[in-house]
Amino acid sequence: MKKYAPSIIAIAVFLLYFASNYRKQSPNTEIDYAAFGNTPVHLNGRIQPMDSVARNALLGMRYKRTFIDEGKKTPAIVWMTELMMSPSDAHDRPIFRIQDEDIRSLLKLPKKPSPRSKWMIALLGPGSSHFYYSFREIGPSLKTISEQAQKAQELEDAQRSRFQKAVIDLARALSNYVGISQSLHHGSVDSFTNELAELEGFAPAGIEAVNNRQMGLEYDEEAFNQMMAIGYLYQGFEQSSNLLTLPVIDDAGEIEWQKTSYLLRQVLGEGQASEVVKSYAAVVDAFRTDNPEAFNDAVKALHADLDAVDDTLVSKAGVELLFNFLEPFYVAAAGYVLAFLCVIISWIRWPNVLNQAAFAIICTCAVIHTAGIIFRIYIIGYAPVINLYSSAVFVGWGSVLLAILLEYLYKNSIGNVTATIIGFSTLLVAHHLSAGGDTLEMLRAVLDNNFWLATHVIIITLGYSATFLAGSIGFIFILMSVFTDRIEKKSARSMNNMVYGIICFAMLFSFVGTILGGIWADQSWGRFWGWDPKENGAILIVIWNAIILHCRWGGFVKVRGTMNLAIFGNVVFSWSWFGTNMLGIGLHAYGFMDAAFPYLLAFCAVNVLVILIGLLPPRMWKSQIA
Amino acid sequence: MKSFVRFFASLELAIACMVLGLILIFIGTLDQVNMGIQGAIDRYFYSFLVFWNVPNSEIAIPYFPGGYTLGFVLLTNLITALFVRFRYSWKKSGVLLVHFGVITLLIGELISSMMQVDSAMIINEGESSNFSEGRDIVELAVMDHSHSTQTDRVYAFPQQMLESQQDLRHDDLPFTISVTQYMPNSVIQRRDGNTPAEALIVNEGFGTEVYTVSVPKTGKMDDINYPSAVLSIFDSSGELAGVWLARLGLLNQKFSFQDKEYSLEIRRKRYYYPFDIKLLDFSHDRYLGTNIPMNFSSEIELTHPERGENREFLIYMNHPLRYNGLTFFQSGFANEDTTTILQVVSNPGRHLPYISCMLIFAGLTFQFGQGLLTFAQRRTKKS
Repeated sequence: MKKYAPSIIAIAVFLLYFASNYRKQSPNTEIDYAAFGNTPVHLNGRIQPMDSVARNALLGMRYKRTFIDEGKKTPAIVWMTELMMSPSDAHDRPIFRIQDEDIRSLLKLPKKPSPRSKWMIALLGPGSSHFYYSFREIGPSLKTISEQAQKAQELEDAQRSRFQKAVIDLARALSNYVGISQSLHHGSVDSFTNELAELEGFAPAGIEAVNNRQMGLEYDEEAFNQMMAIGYLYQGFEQSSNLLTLPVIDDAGEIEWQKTSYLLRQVLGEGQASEVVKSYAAVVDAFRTDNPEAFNDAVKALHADLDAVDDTLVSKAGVELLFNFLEPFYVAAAGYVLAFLCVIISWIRWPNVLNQAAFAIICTCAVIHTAGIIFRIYIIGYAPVINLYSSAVFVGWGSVLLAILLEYLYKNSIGNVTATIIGFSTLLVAHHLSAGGDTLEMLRAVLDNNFWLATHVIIITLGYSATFLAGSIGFIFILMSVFTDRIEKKSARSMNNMVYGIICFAMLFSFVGTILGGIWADQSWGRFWGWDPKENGAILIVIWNAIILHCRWGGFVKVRGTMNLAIFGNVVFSWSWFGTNMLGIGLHAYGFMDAAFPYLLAFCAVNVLVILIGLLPPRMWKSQIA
Repeated sequence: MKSFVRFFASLELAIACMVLGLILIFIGTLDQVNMGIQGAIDRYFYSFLVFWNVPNSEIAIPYFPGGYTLGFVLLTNLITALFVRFRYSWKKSGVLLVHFGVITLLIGELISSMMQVDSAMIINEGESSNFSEGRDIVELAVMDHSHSTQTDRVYAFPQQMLESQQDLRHDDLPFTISVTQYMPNSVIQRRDGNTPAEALIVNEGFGTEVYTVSVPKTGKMDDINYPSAVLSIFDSSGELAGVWLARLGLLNQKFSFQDKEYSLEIRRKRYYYPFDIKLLDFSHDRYLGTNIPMNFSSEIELTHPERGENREFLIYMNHPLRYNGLTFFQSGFANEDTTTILQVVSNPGRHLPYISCMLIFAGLTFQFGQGLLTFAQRRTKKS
């Protein structure tokens, strides 16, 4: 028992953190926001909970999934509930982050006082990049923004200036904002429930007036005009909303998703609105009259009505809500940092205890990381890698698992330190890639094939993972043996074996993965190999791994050479993974991004620098490896 | 001789080829941004040498071996190594399989690069077609309209004859066409004071109002090359009967010669088939509430009169029709989803990568599995 004490304590501490992070997700209010967040709606081609809509929408405006309410970090759903039900209050919340100076001066937006205290400003600067504005502040300039965005839209993405890109983003965020505010109710009257009752009461007279007029008979002019006004109002309501909230069973017995404005057709056609609409109305009214109890009851009723349409809707949305609340990738990233600190300290003090603790945390993180991937697979119904974001998550996952295996086999803390660095850095990259919004996106027709997603994409991504892992071990090896005396002959040899084994794995997976990709391309585009940038990137990794292996087999390189070659593998890997996507051409350009170019360059530069350090003559190294 | 063979079989040469290949692919990929994917393929990958064009001059200096050179050297290296250097044993059989796989892969790519033909078949709903058109290859079509009102007789002259400016003759045509000028890609301009003298000799058809200016060929995916030619028509006695301007997209230039109606046009090269494909229905589904395509599909009817074949087939993404050595893929659509564009590919080497994939997979797994086994045995022995 005593033997495992460090592991048990470490896991316990980490799980406590996990639990506290989960608790933070539902605010401690009378209104049960979490329950409302569980409500399923249809957006971006898939059914998702309101909570996901809120998080992704806020991410597009504030570049964060939370906002500040009375000085406290608050979940996005609180903001979105208010925006949907009582927009005039929400319009005062400063949730639009406008970083671009040109936009700020174009819109004549005031400079905001820095939220930082004086000594923080002295230390970090005023944080001028964080300018948050409310809809009311931006409101007067909506026309200017849409004009500028329209002009920018006419250009190709590569030709747009920074200002133009920013203005397009802002216009998109604003239209999304308006769409959300009009998704549940048009807001022209205070009580949604009363409006429904009046509509239902008035409908027969209104229909009669319209029909009579059309047939040239005598008609009630007042009723006719009122009917026209209602039609006009609902037309606008339909156009501005962007959420599909109502699951309606069509004639074929299948579920068809409609916007809330569809209720008018229900009332006119069937005499009354559906139960789901009525429950939504009750939810909206309860919020507007500030009645938390009624709100919570109405949400329960709403879910019961949705269950009546299809009893899987709420529970499936609940799974995604749970995924949002658990934040598995965020928690795992934090865990990798914690484990990294343990390893680093273990090199100075308490080596066995801390290393054991680190290994325990890494394994727990790996479980959470895996759980996150499984959640995503379940939610979207595709194999795990569907876009650049998920590839980052998956590359990290594959590397961490391999590194855990290495640590298990060699127990020299090298596996631990690489697992933590790669785990954290890939999840950080993924976090930045998710800034575009919903990462659980539907796949374009050509990619919509689970067989190839599960074979080609998974295998090649594992090949990337292994290449990156080998490079990272090389990286650590060079730094540690040049600057410290921790690496002796024996550990040099075992690290060399590690790198060799991992490169063999990388070779197998990247080669087979690339050829499988060719076969997929032959199946769907009619050519095995088209010299598309992404294909070229993949073959570069294969060639580079082949070069390393041949150099070893031929005896041209020993330990140091293998390590340096492996580090250059990082450069090749980063080019293939991201660089090729920055070119913005070809059939694989599924995740176009150019903003990250400086980071890519910096990553390559650092690796090349370490290679140069590794080229220093061994007598200048602190560790004697030969 | 021996040292020569040893050089060709050496590991050093293999590594050198791989390093050069790595660099070639990298610079080729970078240049794809400028010259398009196809342009870069022609220049870097399907070439023997990569040239640097000295700016503002015709001089081209080779500075790097092209894809063909590297591929051939690597292939020679692999094959000679199989005879000279490899030691054949059970333990090494994995390595051997992998290298056979690589050889198959290289040969497959060589065959594709030389023999793969891509073309597009465009069919409207309810109509049928028995030909496809090449994307980047054109031909000069001379049509004789005098035979019947239903069908024309077409004489097609291939692009190479236009490029080499040969005289175009056919036994059934009473005239000869001489290619006075040919531009692989051109833009069209209205005649004005700046029109060059070479263009002014055109005295028939659209060419009396417009002329073309040569522009560099594009290899970009979304851009189209517009070849154009100035064509002089001579009768059998060598008398000039008229000078025409032909350009891809200029249609319906008719003329009569010895009481017969003819027309000429530059059009995409057509590949005719002994069967018909009729588009019954095209559908294009999008995900609800988005513009993301969920599925495109073409319901077609294939009729091969000679074989008495008639069947229906659904072509959709990742599900092509394979027939007669050709593969028909769903590639695009037009006219508000009522026209389908099928990509037609004929590639005699398309089976090789499948074989190579199996060889390499088996070889690598065997080899590395063996290594893993030894490693595991050593560990158990230690403990």
